[in-house]
Amino acid sequence: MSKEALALLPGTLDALILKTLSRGARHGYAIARWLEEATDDALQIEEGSLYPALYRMEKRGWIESDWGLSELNRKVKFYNLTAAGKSQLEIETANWKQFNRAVSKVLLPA
Amino acid sequence: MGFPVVGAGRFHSLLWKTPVEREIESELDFHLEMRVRDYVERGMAPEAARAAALARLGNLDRVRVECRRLGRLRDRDLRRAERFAELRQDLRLACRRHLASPVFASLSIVTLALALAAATVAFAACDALVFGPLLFPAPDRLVRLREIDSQGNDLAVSRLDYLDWRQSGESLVALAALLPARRGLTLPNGERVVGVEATASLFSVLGLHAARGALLSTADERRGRPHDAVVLSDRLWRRLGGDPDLLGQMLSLDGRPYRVRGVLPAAVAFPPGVDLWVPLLLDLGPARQPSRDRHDLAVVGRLRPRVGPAAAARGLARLASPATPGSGQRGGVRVTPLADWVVGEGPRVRVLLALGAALLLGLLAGCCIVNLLISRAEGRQRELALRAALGASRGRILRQLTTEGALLALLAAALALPFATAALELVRTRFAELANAAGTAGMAGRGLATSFAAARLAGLAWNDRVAGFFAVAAAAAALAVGLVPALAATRGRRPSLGRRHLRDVLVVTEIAVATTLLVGSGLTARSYLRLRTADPGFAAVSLVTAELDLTGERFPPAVRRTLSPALEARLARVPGVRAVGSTSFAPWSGKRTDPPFLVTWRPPGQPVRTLAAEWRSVSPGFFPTLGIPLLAGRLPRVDTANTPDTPEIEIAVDRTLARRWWPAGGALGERLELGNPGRPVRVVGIVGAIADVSLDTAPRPTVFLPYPRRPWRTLTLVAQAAGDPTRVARAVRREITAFDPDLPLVDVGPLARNRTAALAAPRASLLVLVLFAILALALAGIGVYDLLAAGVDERTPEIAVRMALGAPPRGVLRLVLYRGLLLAGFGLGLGLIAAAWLARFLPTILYATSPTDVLSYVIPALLLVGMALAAGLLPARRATRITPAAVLKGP
Repeated sequence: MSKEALALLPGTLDALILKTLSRGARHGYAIARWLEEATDDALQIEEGSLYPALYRMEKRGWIESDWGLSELNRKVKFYNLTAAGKSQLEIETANWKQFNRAVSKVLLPA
Repeated sequence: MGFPVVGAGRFHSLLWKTPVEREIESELDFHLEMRVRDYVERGMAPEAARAAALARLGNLDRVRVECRRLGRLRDRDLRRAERFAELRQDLRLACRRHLASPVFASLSIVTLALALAAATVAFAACDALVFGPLLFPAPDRLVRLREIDSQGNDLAVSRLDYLDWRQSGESLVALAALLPARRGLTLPNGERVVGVEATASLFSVLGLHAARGALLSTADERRGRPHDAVVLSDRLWRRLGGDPDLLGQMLSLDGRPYRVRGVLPAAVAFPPGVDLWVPLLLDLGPARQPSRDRHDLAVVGRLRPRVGPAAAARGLARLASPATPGSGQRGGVRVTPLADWVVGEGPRVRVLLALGAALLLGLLAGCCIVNLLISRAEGRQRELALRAALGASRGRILRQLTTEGALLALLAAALALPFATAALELVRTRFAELANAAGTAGMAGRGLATSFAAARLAGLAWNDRVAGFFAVAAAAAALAVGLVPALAATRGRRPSLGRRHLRDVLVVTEIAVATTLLVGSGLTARSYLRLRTADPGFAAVSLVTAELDLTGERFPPAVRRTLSPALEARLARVPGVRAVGSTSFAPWSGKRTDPPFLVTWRPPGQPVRTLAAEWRSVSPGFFPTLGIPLLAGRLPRVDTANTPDTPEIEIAVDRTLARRWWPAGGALGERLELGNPGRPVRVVGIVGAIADVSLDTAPRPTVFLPYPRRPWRTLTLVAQAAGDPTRVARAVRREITAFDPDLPLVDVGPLARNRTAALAAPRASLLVLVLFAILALALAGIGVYDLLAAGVDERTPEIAVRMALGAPPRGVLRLVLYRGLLLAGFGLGLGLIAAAWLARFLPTILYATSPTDVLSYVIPALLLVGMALAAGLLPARRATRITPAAVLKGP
C-alpha cells in the first residue's frame, strides 16, 4: 500500500454510512468492506468507531436494524436506511457539495 | 427532539429483543471473524491476521462502552415511541367511536364539564370561607368565649370573669378581650373608620406581628398614661398617606390625640372590617369596681393543645362555682370556633352545600356516563373477542377501552376550565357588588359576618389549592369514567351477571343522588319562597333610612338627644315624606343588640325571671312611620321619659316579649328591670313584633326605650316615602346635608335595597340547587331508560316465548315498567334517607322551613316515580311490539 491513508474529516463518517446503506441492507462488516473498496482504501477509518456511529444513527432514527442471516449463514444484524435516513443523506450530500465548492475555491483557484 | 418515525420492523426487533450487551458482542465478534478470514485468504498467518484485525478495530473497550450507552438510549426511545404509537392508535380509535355517536359524546362531555366546573367554583368558595387559612396561624385553636345565663341565653363576658379566666390559665394558652371603641376616625370624605378597644394580648392570641412599628403592650393597659397608643390596619395606614413617618405621630380620634404605635400586615384584621385598635383598660380605677354581673366584653382565646372547645367550656365553668356572689344567673360558658364569628354560619353552610351538591352532581354524571359506556360496550364483545384472538393482551384491550372513557373526561376537563373561570368571574363581580352594598358594619355579629364572606368571595380566583382540586377531580373523573367501564367490559364475553348488577347499582345510585338533590332544592325553594313573602311586621316597601354615626366628642348624649327631634322636624317637611321617626339601629343592616340585653322580672311571690332581649331606642314617630301596630296601652311619653331623673322609665315591649311572660295578657303596667345592674322600667304599651335585624331573622323579644332616654350613637332616621323611594332618599340626603354638612352620614337609601341584598344568598343557593336537580333528574332518566332498553334487547327471546304462550301486551308492558319502578324505588329509598340525614345541616339557612318539611320530600318522590315510568314507557312499548314468530324462527 503505497498510497498514504487520509484521516477522515469529522462528521463525514455518518454520511458515508448512509450512502453505503442507500444501496441496500448491510451488516456492519459489509459496510466497512464497502467503504474500503469504494474509496480504494484511501480513507483511514478506525473500524471500531463504525459501531458507535451505527448505534447513534439508529437512535436518531436514520437507520434501523434487524437480525438476518449472513452469506455464511450466521445470525447477524443488518442495517437498513429509513425514510428519515434517506433525507438525511440528501442533506449531508448537499452540505458536502457546498463545503467542497467553498474549500476548492480557496485551495484551487481557477 | 420529536419522536422518530417508526416502521413496523423496529417493533418486531423489539418484540424479540436481544440484550444490548449480547447484541454488541455478537456484532464485534462477527466483524473480527470476517476480517481474520479475509486476511487469512490473502495469505496471512492466522495469529498475525487476528492481531492485525484487532488493531484495525481500535480500542475495543471504548467501543463497547460507547455502544452500550447508545444502545440503551436507543431502546428507551424505541419503547417510548412504541407506547406513544399505541396511545395514538387508542386515541384515534376512541375519537372515531365518539364521533360515531356525537350526541352521547357531547352530552357526556358537557355534563361532566358542568359538574367539574361547579365543583371547582364551590371548592374555591369553600377554600375562601371554610378550608382556607383565616389569616392567623393555627386557626383551629382559636375560639370565641361567651357566658350563658341560667336560661341558656348568650351573654358577653364580665370583666371579673375574664380576669379569673386569665389568671387560672384553664384550658387556654392566652385570651384577649374586646369592646367597640368609643372613639373613631372620620376621613376627609366623611367615611367613618371603625375601631375596637382591645387588650394587648389580642395580637399574641391571634399570632399577629406588626408590619411596621410595634403593637399594643401590657403597659398600654395601665390607666393614667399621657397618650393612649393606636394601631392601624395596613388599609387605613395607606388611606392616611402610607407615610412611614406616621409612626410615633399623633392621630386625633374624635378630638382626642392618640400616638400611632404600629401598622398590622396587609389584609389582616380582627374583628374583620376593623381598622384601628386602641388599648382596652380593664382596670376601671379605684372609684368604679366592676360588677360581676356587668357583661360587656367580647372574648377570644387560643386553646391549649389537645383541648377541645367543649372541654374548655367545662373547665372554665368549673372556675365559677366556688366564686363569688352574684353568679346566680350564670349558666356556664360557651366556647365556639372563631371561624363561626369571622365567617358566619350561614355563608359557611351555603358554600359547603354548594360543594356537596356539585360533588353529588359529579358522582351522578360519572355514574351515568359509566353506565352508558358499559351499555355501549355490550355490543362490542365480538370485536373485543376478535382482537383478543389476534393476540391483543387483556392489558392492551383494557388500555384501549380506558382511553375511550378517559378521553371523554379529559375533554370535559378542558371544557370545564373556561366554564370555571367564567363562573369564578361571575361570583367575583356579584359579590363585589354585594360587599360594596354591605358597606361598613360595627361589631354586631351578623351583618359583619355576611360582609366578610362577601368580601372574601369578591376575591375569588384560581389559586394553587383550587387548581390542585381541579386537577385531582379531573384525574379522578378520568380514572373512574375510563377504568370502570373498561374493567367491566373485559370481564367476560357474555353480558355477565356481574355487569348487569353493576349497571343496576349505578342506576340506583343515580336515582338516589337525584333524589337527594331534588329534596335539597325543594327545601331551599320552600325556604326562599317563604322568605320572599315574609312579613317583617313593618311596612318596608317604601321606607327610606338615613344612618348617622354620632360617635365622638362632638356628639355628647345631650346633643344627640336634641338632634333626633330636630332632624325629624326637618325631614317631615321634605316633599314626598309621609312620616318620620328615628331608631338606634338601621333596619335590615344586620345590626342588633350583641350581646343581648338582660330583662329581669320579679313577680311577687315567684322566682325571679330573666330573658335576653333586643333593645331599640326610638322616637314616638318610629311606630307610625313603620306601620307597627300598637296592640295595647299607649306609646311611651317622651316628655316624662326625657328627664334623666325620672325614677321609672316608660317603655313599650313587643308582642314576642309580652307573650313569653304573659301569654294570657297583662303585661301592661308591669315593672321590669333592664340591663345589668337593673334599671327599673314600667311597661306602658305592647306593639307588634318586627324582624328589623335582617329579613331572615325571626323577631326576638324586644324592648323599645324612648330615644332621649338612651340616645344611641348610631341614630337612624326612617321616613315613609309617598313616591319613588330612591328620589325621596336623595331629597332626604340633601336635607340632612343642608341642616349640617358635617354630620357623619353613613348611609342613605331605600330599604328595599337591603331586601334585595338579603335575598341574594338564598337565591344563589336556590339557583344552584335547582339547576343541579334538573340536570340530575334528566341524567337519572337517561340512565333508567338505557338500562330498561338494554333489558328489553337482552330478553327479547324470553319475551317472545311469553307472548307466544299467550302473555297479553299489558303483561309485557308491566314486566318492563315494573323493573323501572323497582330500581326507582330502591334509589328513592336510599336517596330520601340520605337527604333526611344531610338536611340536618341545613337549619341555619332554612327560613321558616323544617328540614323534614313533608312537601319537600313528597314532590321529589313523585317526580322520580313519574320519571321512571316515562323512561320505561318507550322500551316497554317496544317490547310489546315484538313479533314472537319472527324472533323464535331466528334470523
